[in-house]
Amino acid sequence: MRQFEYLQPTTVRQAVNLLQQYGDRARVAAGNTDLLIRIKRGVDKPACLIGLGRIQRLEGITVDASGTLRLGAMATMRMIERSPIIRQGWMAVAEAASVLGSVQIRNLATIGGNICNASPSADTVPALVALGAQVLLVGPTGSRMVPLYEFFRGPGLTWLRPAELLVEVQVPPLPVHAGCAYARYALRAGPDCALVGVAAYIECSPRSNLCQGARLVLGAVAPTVIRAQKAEAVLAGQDPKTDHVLQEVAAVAEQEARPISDVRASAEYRRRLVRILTSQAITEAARRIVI
Amino acid sequence: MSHPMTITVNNRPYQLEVEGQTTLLELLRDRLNLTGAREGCGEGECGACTVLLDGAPVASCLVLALQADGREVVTIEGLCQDGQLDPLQTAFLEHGAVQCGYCTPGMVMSAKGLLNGNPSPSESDIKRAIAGNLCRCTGYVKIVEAIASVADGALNSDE
Repeated sequence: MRQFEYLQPTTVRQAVNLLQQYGDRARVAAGNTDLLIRIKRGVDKPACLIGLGRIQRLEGITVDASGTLRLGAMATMRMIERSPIIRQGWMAVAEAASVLGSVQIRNLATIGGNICNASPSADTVPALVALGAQVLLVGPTGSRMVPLYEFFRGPGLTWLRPAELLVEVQVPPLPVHAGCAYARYALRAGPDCALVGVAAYIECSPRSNLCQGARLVLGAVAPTVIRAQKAEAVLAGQDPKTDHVLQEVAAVAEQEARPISDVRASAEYRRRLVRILTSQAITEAARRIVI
Repeated sequence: MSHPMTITVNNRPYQLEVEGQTTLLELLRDRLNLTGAREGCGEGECGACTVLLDGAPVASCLVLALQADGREVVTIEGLCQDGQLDPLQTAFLEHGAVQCGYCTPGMVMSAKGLLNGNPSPSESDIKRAIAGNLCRCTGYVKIVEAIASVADGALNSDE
């Protein structure tokens, strides 16, 4: 592999300072499962990697006093997939983490990396957006919180400022009478990139079972993850377990997708998948609502 | 520039100097002469380089040696104790789960990682655990049978 320096700061502050110092010549190195492939292929030629593996602040999966889930940027897919806390309270996130890559990759790949790579097909992103996640960013001039949905500019592009680091993902607690699910389809049953991924968050009225809040989030069908807001509007006030409602919502979501044709699938095929997966994700999310 | 590091491989501690871009796989093969882990694709797709890092299976071609500083690695060479094969290795032989052998060390290490965390896996647990290990010879059936044969109480049926 091409030569580079591997620096291992021990605090967020040190990492930010190194990012400032090296500028474009440095890359943030989390799980390395994408970055090292790009370097091996010669499509990225950084002089220096800033490894985050020794920064305590980036570790851990905790729930704070307000019930918010806090995922350190270095939490791996495997930790997230297996975390009893996440499986209990934020199942869609565990589900998305469990389908990404192989065990060997999930033991390395991190939530921060999956987000900051900004791949339109990143599995964890639709699930986190559906749950209203925010990201904590720390840079040279201080920190800020950004809704994850507003974090992406395009394929591979985020609104991270120079020398800014994603430190933590915060996911609000699921209200009572709400459920979430992630459904995805890939060509191979094993580790393979999602052709389409759909996350659904459904909140129902405790009395009537009618939907009083929904977020439907589509992955891999636009330059960034997108919300199917017209489909969400169709769900409002309706029973998500009713067939004709499901069919109409899924058809509207299909219209909202803007997929491309590529080597994996045609745009038409992907749109069709949006319809099927939207219906599946809503059904599963609604089923998980504890009445 | 070289950096000092320490690593425990197959219960043996090492102190080494490595460069930033050196991978764990290169360290194992080229510096420690542990050539059981193979480089297949070099991109984490094939699983031939699978080793256990702090007990968890990883693609060692995508791990920098310095990421493993202070940590513990087990390779296929570490499974054999005092000339006795690990029960998994014996099972692979007895079930005909080895043909050309290129994938075998990685396949066995993935299975080892599974059984460490889940001594009684179902058939689908086994298939998921080795989904990141490609084998072009066996068709996988014998491999799944071999792994199932050493699971606690043989194979649990899927729920």
